[in-house]
Amino acid sequence: MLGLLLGLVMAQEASLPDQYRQDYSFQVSEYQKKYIDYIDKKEIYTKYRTITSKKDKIDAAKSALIARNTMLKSYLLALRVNFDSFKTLSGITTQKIQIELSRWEDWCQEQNLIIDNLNSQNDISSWVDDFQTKYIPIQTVIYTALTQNQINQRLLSLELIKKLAENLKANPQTGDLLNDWLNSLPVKSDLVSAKLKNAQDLTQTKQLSNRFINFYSNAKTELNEADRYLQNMLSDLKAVAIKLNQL
Amino acid sequence: MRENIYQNIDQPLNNPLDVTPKPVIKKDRRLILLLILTLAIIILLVASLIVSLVRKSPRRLTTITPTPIPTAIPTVINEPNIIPSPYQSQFKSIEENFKYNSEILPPQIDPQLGL
Repeated sequence: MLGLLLGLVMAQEASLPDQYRQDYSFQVSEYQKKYIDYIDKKEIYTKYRTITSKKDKIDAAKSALIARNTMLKSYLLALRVNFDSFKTLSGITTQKIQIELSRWEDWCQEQNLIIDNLNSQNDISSWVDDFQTKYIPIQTVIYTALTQNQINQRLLSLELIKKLAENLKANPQTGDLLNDWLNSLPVKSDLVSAKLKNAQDLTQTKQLSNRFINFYSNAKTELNEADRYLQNMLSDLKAVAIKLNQL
Repeated sequence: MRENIYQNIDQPLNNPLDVTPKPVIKKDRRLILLLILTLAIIILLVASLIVSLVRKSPRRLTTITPTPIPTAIPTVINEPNIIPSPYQSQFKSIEENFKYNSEILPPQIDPQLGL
């Protein structure tokens, strides 16, 4: 009882994005169980080819597909809610992505009703074909959202660094020597912005009709370079702050 | 009449009775010790030769210890006490923002599921 109460208190303390992440992790494990069950049933059917084993295979496939859609929906939801942490500076781009994510969440939900009514292997095969074409725009929006969310996080860091630099400049003790140091920050700030712009441009990579072209690794490279400049700016500011303390 | 051939006793080697006393080999302990020591030294020399040959063999893989690259000693600037207190909270919030992992990796799915 005490454990349950403690659990409830802890669950309340977890932030909303964290709760959605936890739900997504739970759905992943559910999907994995259903998927393994489907693989077992499929093997039995391939071995014996009986009517019963065929029915079992179809039922297991439907369960696994429903679990997969539920998992995808919970992932898209977690991704959408995660945007709220840093979206203050991103403007309309984030809102557009959030609307797109929400649209695919609804689609996953609807598909579960359709899958429930599939009764033959032909029906399932045609649904899977349809899903494969839809999965390309789903992946595009997923990786676009992942990239944009990290861009937003870095934009927030950049904004905080700029504010801190202004505060340090406003300190009357900051002499010419330290001002020179602070004046180099805009150059690094421009470099960060350029790297973030490159990452954002990569999300606009034109996709093929039958295959998803993953741009995320290249976008990550740009984001990592932006991180390097941000860390560098922060180190400079720390050096200035420490110098001020010694004056 | 058959003639008996007698041996000349002045030639002891031809005496069938072998009356000459056997030469007593005097066992010199010091000589034996010297022999053993000499043998031991030879064995050790051969063994050391073999070992040195094996070590010099080109087939043997040798691990080369890389030369340590000199790295700059990082300046201790993470110490909160050396940052003036009015700026400490700002630095903290920036660092927390850096550390926060906003990346939720997408699930790996099998798009062929159901076929």
